[in-house]
Amino acid sequence: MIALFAIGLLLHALNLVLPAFVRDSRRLNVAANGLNALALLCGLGFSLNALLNYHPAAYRFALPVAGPVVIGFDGLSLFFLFTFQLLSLAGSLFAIGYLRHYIERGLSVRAHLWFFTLLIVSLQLLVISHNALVLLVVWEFMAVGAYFSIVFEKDKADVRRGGFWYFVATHAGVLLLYVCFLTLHEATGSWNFDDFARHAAYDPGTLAVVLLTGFAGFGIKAGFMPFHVWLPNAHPAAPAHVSGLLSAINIKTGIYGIARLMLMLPALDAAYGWGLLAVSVVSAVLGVWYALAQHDIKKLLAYHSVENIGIIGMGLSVAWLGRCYALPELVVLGFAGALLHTLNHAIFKGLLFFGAGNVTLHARGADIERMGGLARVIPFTATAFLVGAISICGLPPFNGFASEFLIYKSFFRGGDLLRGYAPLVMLCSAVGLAFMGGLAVACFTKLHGIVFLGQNRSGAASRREKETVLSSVVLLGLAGLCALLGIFPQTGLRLLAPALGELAGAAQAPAGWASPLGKLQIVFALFLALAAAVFVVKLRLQRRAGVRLRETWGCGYAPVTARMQYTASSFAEELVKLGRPLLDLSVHWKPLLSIVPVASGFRSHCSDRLETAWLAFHRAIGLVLGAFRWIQSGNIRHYVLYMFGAVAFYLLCALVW
Amino acid sequence: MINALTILFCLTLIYLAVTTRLSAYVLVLVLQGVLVAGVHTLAFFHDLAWSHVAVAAGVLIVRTGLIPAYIVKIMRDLDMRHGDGTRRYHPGFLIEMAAVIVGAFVLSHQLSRFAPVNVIPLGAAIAGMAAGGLLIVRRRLLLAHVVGFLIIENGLFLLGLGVRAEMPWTIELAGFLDLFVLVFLMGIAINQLKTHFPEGGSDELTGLRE
Repeated sequence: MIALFAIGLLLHALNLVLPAFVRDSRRLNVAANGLNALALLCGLGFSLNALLNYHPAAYRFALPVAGPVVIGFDGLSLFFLFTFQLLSLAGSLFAIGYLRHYIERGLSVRAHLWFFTLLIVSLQLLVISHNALVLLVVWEFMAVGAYFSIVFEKDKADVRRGGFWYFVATHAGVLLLYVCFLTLHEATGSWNFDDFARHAAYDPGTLAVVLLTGFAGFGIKAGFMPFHVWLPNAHPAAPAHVSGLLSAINIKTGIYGIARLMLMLPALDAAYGWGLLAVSVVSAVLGVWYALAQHDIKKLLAYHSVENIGIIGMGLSVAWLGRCYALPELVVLGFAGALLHTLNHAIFKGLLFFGAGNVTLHARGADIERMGGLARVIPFTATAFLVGAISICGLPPFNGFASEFLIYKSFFRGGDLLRGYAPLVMLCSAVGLAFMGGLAVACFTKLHGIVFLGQNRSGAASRREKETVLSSVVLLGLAGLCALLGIFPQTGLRLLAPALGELAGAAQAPAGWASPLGKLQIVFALFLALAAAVFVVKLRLQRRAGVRLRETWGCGYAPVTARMQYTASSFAEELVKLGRPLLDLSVHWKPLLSIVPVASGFRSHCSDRLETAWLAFHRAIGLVLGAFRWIQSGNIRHYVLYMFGAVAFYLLCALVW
Repeated sequence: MINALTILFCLTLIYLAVTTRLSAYVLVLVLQGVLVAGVHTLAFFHDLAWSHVAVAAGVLIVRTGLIPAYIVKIMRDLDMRHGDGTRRYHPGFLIEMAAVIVGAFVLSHQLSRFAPVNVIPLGAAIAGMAAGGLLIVRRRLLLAHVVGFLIIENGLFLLGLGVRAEMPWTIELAGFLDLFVLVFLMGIAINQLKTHFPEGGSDELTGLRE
């Protein structure tokens, strides 16, 4: 079956030369994305089969500088490979219809499709590279592919700005990863992950450097706070099919890295687990709170990615603590919850971003304050988006509930099994998760209600053309997966079982650790059957009685206009005000002072305090470095002098030492 | 005899420091080409192979003939026979050049304590490389930079002799390729630049700053 994967890679490679042969943008769009989809179907065939009939495999070969290199297909790699391929398939199919609008505007998609393919290929290669040097090289390719995919509309300043945020963040992360892997190489003498795992004993200092730099480096990529600030700038700047992949799978490479470190390294110090838990809870709560205050649909979804990364981090931290305290049940609950949520989040976040792409196309913008009534214009998108919204809120019977349930259970079991102050921390974490869940429900009620229900707030006509069949199929397909994994969560658990089996300490977990999900399955099935039955009865009764349309009662005001509806800001106002000390909320309005009506206005904006802090830090660095600006004179003779000076300095060092 | 030729090589570097005329620079290049070819031939005289003769012939033809002729052609095209007339002689450059030469020989002597090297040729080689760099740093004219680079190449050529090793053929060929590319590209660049910078100075080229 590895041949299927190889065929997939060959098809991707063919895609990289396709722009040289297909000149017409429309045909290239269909051909390139179609070829990617075909390649990904082959890849999915391989990864799904490998997960269901699991036998770990590894292929070794020698490279000139890196030495012996391992390409591995263990449980963790296969799980992430499957997730990445699934969402890349959805993204490629969605891109066919979505890019058509850009082609009609005269934008060239040639380079964009090339870098999009590079991104998809490098994501797959990343998770099967079990050699640190190869991983870092592939990481760079992924960063380049993602950056150029983001800056598709490079004539827009906010797009360039978002791309730059991504570029800086990804390279800040990779610098830390260089330190992490160099330290591991120094300790073990090898670059391969299995040698890192087999190493007899790491001294505490080495382990500290590796874990701190590794968690920080991968954490920047994943979007944990306080390193998340690039995410809400970069993801909205990209076209929808790219933002979907960025949020769904690109940031999961950070999670993959942290999970890989957990698999390779001994769990000796619980402090790392508690630290990761604290960072995760803060990321989850603040992420959703910031999301609640946003008006831009894509920025809102980007902050929700930070929230969900926090949820995944909670699961990973409990797994780490379980290993430290020798509690196998915590290990499996935490790790399974984290991995299942990785898959679930990838599916519903991809769905939401692709849906947001359709919304921004039809509403001609991303400001939700100017939207409304889009359910009548794009009904399939509205339905699929609703399923995605319920899933991301962690409500049954969809997939978000199943993974969050496992994480809740891990907190409650942790409260039972741990001693000292740990039960209190576990309880606070569970409360934080529940609070965050409540805010998420409020946020998506706001989002779905404002965007799809009611009437158009902008007064401008929205785009009248229907949703394409392909985009509807993709969205409804992803919504179907949300339902499938929610009603049959054992399916998801089966996919992550190989990865779970590889984690030290997981094998001793009690057999029925996931059994409540099986019982809940029956409840969900009954619930859905009941809901379907009630819906059928309602339709029959309606058909008999007929339906009368009336205007909504407007409290006696006449005429009622679309501008008299709830705004997103007003809906979320009370909840956002609760978080005022943490959120930088600014409100601008002129109060009405006389009984004679005059023109007035209201504007509210929530800035990210951490982004403001990072920008201030950047300005301070600029000021300090500005003192050395004289070195860059622009005169070539001075640069030659610097070069000779450097050579003389090295020569002196070589002589002295 | 080899030592005498290498010391003559160093004296040409002193001469570079006291003149500002481009024609003098070209003369120095020709002289250095002859000296370097002579040093190379004498070093392998007792064990002369066709490769040594070929290298010496190549040095004579390229460094003594072709390149100086091409530089003279560029000078005629730009009407720069007399060099940069606005820059007067300044003793500072001479002091710097002398310091560089002395430093090179001191370094060579120090290195001889750790490794078996020929002190005088190695000192001359280091002095040549450093002097070429100094010329680039101290002179404005782009043509002077070309000359400086060529002097660096001459120093590199002597380096093999200094460390008592024969340079492999690939290094020799790479050196010739360097010269070809430099002179060819510089010729094109100066031709293109002369419409905007008739003086051929480098101070106008500040685009590197941003």
